[in-house]
Amino acid sequence: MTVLGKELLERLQTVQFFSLLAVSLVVFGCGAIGFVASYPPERAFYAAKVAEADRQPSTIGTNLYRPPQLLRFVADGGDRYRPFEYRLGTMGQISPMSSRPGNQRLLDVPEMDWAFIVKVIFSFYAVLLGFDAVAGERESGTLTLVLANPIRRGRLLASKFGAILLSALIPLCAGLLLHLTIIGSFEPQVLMPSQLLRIASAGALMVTYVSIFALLSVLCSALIRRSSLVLLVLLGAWVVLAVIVPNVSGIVSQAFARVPTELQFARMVDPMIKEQVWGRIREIQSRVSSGAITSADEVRKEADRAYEAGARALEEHHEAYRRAIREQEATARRWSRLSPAALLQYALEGVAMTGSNSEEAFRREAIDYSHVYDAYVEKKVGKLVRSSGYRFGTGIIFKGAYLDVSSPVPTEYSGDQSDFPHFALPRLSFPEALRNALGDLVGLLSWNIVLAVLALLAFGRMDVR
Amino acid sequence: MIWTIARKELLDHFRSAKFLVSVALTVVLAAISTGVSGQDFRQRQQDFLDAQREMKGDGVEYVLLRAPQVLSTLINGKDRILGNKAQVSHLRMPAGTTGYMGEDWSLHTVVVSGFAAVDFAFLVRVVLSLVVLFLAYNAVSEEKSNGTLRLVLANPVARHEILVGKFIGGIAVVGTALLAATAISLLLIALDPKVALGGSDWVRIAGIVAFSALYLVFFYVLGLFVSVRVDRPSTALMVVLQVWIVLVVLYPNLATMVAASVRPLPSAQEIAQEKAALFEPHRAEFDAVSNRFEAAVMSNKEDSEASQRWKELWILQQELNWRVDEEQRRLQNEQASLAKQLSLLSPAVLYDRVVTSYAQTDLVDYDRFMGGVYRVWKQLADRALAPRRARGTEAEPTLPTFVAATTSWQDRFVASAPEWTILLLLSVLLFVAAYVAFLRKDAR
Repeated sequence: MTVLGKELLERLQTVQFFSLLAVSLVVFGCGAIGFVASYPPERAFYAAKVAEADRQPSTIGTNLYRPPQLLRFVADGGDRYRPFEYRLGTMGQISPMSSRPGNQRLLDVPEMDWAFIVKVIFSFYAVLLGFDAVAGERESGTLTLVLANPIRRGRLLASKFGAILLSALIPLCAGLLLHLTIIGSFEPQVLMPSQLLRIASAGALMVTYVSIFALLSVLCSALIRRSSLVLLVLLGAWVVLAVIVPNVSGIVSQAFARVPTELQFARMVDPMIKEQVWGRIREIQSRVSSGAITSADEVRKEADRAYEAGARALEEHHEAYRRAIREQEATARRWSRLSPAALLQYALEGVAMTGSNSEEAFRREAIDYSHVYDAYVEKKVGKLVRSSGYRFGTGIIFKGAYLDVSSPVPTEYSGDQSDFPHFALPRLSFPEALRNALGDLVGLLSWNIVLAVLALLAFGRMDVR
Repeated sequence: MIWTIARKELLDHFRSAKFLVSVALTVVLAAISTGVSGQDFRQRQQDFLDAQREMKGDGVEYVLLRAPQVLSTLINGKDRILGNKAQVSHLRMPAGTTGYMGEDWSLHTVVVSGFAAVDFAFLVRVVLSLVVLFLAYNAVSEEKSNGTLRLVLANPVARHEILVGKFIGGIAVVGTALLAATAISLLLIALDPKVALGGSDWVRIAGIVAFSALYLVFFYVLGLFVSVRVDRPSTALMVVLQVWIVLVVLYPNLATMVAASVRPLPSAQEIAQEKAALFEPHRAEFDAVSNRFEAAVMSNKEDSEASQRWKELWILQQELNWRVDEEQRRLQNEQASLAKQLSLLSPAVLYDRVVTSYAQTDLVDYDRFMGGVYRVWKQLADRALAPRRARGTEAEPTLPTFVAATTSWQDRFVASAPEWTILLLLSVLLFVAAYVAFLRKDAR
């Protein structure tokens, strides 16, 4: 029997292997059932909302909906907190409306997606499977006997690493197969070649991640004599890398990101209205009084321009607020990339097109669509009036009479709108999805390379007596 | 003899590297998390005070603000994610709070919602529970594998004295680790001049620390039990860790998932449809009255009958919407209640429930706040529908009394009795099991 075979057989007979197999089948099974229970209703809800928007074409504005992603069982990406409904007005106004209703009375638990299962549970078990790979044999005295044979240390180490990885991958494959069987029975589109390609990439990423902890286990096992101490050190490393660093980055980003608070943004709105809107209206009034403006039409045109400038400034202000939030999230993600768990999370989101990638792609597509929509509105109505959540109205004294001027509103076209342009969802190709995940994949591979080199050095130089 | 053994255990732990490293890690994390949570609270508190001064409303719309909870510095709970503002007028009864910019909940906290809150509760629930297991797993198994257990038992010392001594020594060590984390957190909070803690806050803090201690005692006893039953220390550690991952990570997650699947909530579409259906019998009249009202406004004429009827129907619609929203809250509570029942045996869930209750960062007081908002709306609506006073005698409209009494610490403590009982019972059962197993253990 080869060394790899012997090592693997040993691990396949341990309590932790069977425990991992049982846990894997249970969590993947439950995750699949949870997905099958939640995805179809959300998909149906999305389809109903899109159909409703299609039935009511409008030149005032339209609603755009972000669908639930099919591969969110791979990496959810915080979808429940992200808006799924956007209001598109004229002149590029895109406002997120709401996120899906959730129950804040429930305990806040992470989604039981593949990312969570692998980055927390499989890394944990990789440590349990591998901590005594070297130290255990040294303690029992069998390591000297093995190395008394003509076997290179590098080959022995590679066999041990391979055995640890395979003994973690067998339950992983079993869990994934169960998961895909359950989901595939209810959502057969998951088994289409394009999806399977992404799933296979996700699988490769997960293997790369688990191998980091397998390598860490052999490294620590080679460096530390006592196996119980090895386990403690490895668990400490697991707590830091898989639990603490990914989450602490969230609060650290808040501390270091210099972003105005919500109230600071909110309190800028009134002064902006006073300056951008009423200030300009007052200026128009004084031009009317001085005789610079001589016709009622010109007064209305100037007022429309003033309201348009005000609405644009307010819209930019709201967008600046949303941009600040996106930047803060990006900062939190950058900090968390110190941990391989975060690298795996973002790589899986990239491949599965969920999380902030999905939101960003949707926004870009919505911005492109807004130009098409504006062209349609101009064709139908003849002019483009800015949509705004703000409505203003006042009067200007023109030649002694009160002239009512209100902010212009987009006009509803009452004729045939059968040529209303439909919003097409962004179609991200597989190469583009891989590109999203590339940086994080490089990070995961770097961890692997560095740990492999260190493990080889440590094992090569260690005193096995 | 018990105290001698306890003292020996205590000293052994205090001198061990794993204890020192664990406590150092806990103290650093406590400092970081409390420091950042404190800064976040200070900012939210300042925003709240500024908003109280600046956002008074215009006499038609009123702004009601929800104060941030001071103990969210220790236990974040839901306090950061719930919005702070409810804008109410006689024509508008909000379904929930929003952020100051008006978005659902508060977009500002969406940023960090993808990351678990690293607060005092996380520290105890995840980090300290692991630390305690690291300290307890080899209490007996290491002595057995070293051969020192039989040497101790060769002395005239009763077995139960050894176990109780180890238990007391271990609890003292656990208490030290918890106190270290608590002390640094409370020091950072108490030294902050902008964070004011009242008498009842200190009582709540004491409750949080006490329940944290019980939670950690449970894990210590769990470690002790496994240590008694399993001879090899490394095997004992693996067993406790696998039990930990099930109790702290998997079980809460699965219970929540099952509750969400068994008692699903209506979608936003269904809620909107229900609201529309409830108002449907009045729709035709409302449309007709709206047209009359609009025509009167456009022609600068007064149609008091249309105006009054329009107000009545609009207010009725708000009332019907509120009833649907109340029903949603009831369904959410039912779902949460099912999750609670399913996760009765998870110490992590029991812990989270109790400490968020004591810190008032759960939704109990939020529901009371919305109840208060509803009562203000009712008063505004009644005022709007009342016959108009003669012009010239109208007084400046003032905000109706806003009352949203929070639950007292006494009520919270009494409500948490079941969680205390369950955790205490589980700890006692495990200790009894360890005791019986140790009495029968082969020490050779």
